[in-house]
Amino acid sequence: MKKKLAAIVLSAAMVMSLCACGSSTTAQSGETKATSDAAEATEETTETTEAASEDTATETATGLKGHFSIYHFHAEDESGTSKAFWAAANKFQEENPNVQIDYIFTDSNNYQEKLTTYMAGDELADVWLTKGDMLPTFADGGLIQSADQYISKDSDWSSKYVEGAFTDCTYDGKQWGVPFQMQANCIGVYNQAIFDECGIKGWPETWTELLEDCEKIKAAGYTPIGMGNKDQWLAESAVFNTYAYKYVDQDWFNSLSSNEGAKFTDEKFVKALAGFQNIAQYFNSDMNSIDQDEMYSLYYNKKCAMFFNGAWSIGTLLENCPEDVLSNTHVGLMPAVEGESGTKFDTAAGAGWNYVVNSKLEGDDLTACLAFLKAVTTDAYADDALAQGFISAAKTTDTCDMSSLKPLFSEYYELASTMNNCSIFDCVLPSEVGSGVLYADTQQLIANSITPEDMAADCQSALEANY
Amino acid sequence: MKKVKSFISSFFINVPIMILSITCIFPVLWLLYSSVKTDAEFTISPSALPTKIHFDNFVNAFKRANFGTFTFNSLFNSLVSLALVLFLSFILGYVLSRYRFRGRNFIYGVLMVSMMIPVYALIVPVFIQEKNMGLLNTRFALIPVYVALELPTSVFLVDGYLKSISIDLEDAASIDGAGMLRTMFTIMMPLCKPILSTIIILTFMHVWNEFAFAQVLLTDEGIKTIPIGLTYFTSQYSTSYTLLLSALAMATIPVIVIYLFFYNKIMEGMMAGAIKG
Repeated sequence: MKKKLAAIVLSAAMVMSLCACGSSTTAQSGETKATSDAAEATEETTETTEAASEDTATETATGLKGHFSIYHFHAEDESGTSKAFWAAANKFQEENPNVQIDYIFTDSNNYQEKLTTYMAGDELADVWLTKGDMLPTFADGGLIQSADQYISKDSDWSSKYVEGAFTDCTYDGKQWGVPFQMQANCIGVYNQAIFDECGIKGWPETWTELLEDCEKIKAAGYTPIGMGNKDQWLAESAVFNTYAYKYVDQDWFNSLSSNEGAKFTDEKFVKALAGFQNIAQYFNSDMNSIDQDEMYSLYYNKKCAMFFNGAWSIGTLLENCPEDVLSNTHVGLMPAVEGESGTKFDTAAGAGWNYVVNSKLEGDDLTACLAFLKAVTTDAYADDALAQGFISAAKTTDTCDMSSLKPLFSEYYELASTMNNCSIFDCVLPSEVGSGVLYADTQQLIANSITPEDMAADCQSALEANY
Repeated sequence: MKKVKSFISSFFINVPIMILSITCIFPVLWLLYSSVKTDAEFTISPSALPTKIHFDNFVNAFKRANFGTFTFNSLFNSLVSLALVLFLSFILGYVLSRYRFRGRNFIYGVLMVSMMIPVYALIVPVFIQEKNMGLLNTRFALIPVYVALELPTSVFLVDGYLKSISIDLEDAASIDGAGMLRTMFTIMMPLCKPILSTIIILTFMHVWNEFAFAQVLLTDEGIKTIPIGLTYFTSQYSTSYTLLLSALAMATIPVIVIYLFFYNKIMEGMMAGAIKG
């Protein structure tokens, strides 16, 4: 028996040592590599902190100190608002060497899923990005503190944002977040060369004109309107949402979202659904099986004459569109529907995502965090974002060089100033409705597999279950 | 005449098979040639050949996705998990297939149940568990999860394989004076090479490609793995497909190497058994 026991112990020891050898060999063989790689990684992740400490002697320290973590989706090598964010964040760290910031990055596709897990595990960062649809969960659960209590005290800060910047982060009478972008969720992008070829003078002013133009384009053998709704959000969030505002208005939506009388089943909303189902005949036939990028591909290859999408498509066009198409590309507002209350200026637009602050953050850490949020959403950040082709939620400074803007972006910038910004449905409504039923049913609506009446009833029942 | 007949018959059998093989190899070729295109070229025509070869895509992808660090981390997780899975699954499989004892069916049941729970249902509970154990966001955060996930399948594979080997061999060993451990490790283990190779391939592939847990349990850039790096090419409004494809091409290499190496072992083991039999 003793012999057996000894044998077991010895062989266990042998196997364990073998395992240990295995792993230590791995560790060792990878060590040199790891060291160099780790150096590289450290360089990238804590770049800002190191840069900050190096500059301690030279910088004029602001006296701010503290430590906080931020969970975000701004990739370091990206363009647009991400690039502007990192420029502002790095500058802030240089100026504030005693503030330590832990950046927790996840790509935007997987961001929300990870955020939900953090919430479930009570491991939320000190600052994170959220959309309006999740605000009630965070606010009612006491997980975040309202940002307006700090911003309103600092007039220098509060005066820096454009009008309507805080709409998406307002809940229960309080503004909970700090916005960093202000995007139109829908603009019309068209190829003037194809329009000319089809005998169309310019961008249509009314919906009837748009339908007539679509007929002409179709007759010439082009797809009139490109649509890439494989991921479900494009048709609803970037097109239908704005189209709905040609029939309903902001008051109707406020009433709907706060359960004060308006319903999805209201006649004007059902009419909007029917109108949208009608325009779907001019989309490409594979609209529900291609995505946004494939839709761009149709446009680049001159297979479709126009498409509707959020203002973010301008940045993509400027980067990837072939020169001959880009030089003929212009943008326009979605036309108004005759006889309905909405105008062409009514556009679903807003900040979408906002930075929110953990309710547990206090003292020096909170002060440092607020200073950081101010730095990464206003002033130089706003100018920088604009130069990247994105409109931020803050006003640009007097030093901003408007002449350096690309022509297509300047065109959009002018249009944006005329827009009447209305709430984005999926940023305000509970996610089960906004990015759930509404997305899925719109996909069915354009495929003609649901009637406008059934869709309205379906959305209404989902909303009632989530009030 | 006979020659012509056999040529015709083999022609009609082989040509369709060759065409089918081309359809299998096409995605790999597409991945390789698309990875050297520019983003603009790719969006205009995803299936066209590149006009100019851009090898710098690989360099950019390597830098942007922290490939050096992430490859080391993925290798570390894969190899440590693999060693543990191999060791534990062989012992468990052997004991379950060769011994009858109280609780044996219970162990089978537990293993079976753990295979049936969808991975996504486990994410939040595992997150909380790791948080309480202080494992969250550490180098060893993923290893227990991977071992637990891979163990049931591996145990069943070993168990099933051993059942196909006659017990006479062990009786003979026992008569010659070999103890349990000696029989297990020096007699039965070499016979199990084919199934252990299968386990190596499956486990390595699963662990190398695992995303859901790696995504949630790790936040520190220094310990993240390759599949997380592959998400670094998608931003809020766009995806850099060509860099993503270059990164995918690089990420596939270790899996292919492991597969090619151990696939032969499976065949060798099977052949060896056949001759002995």
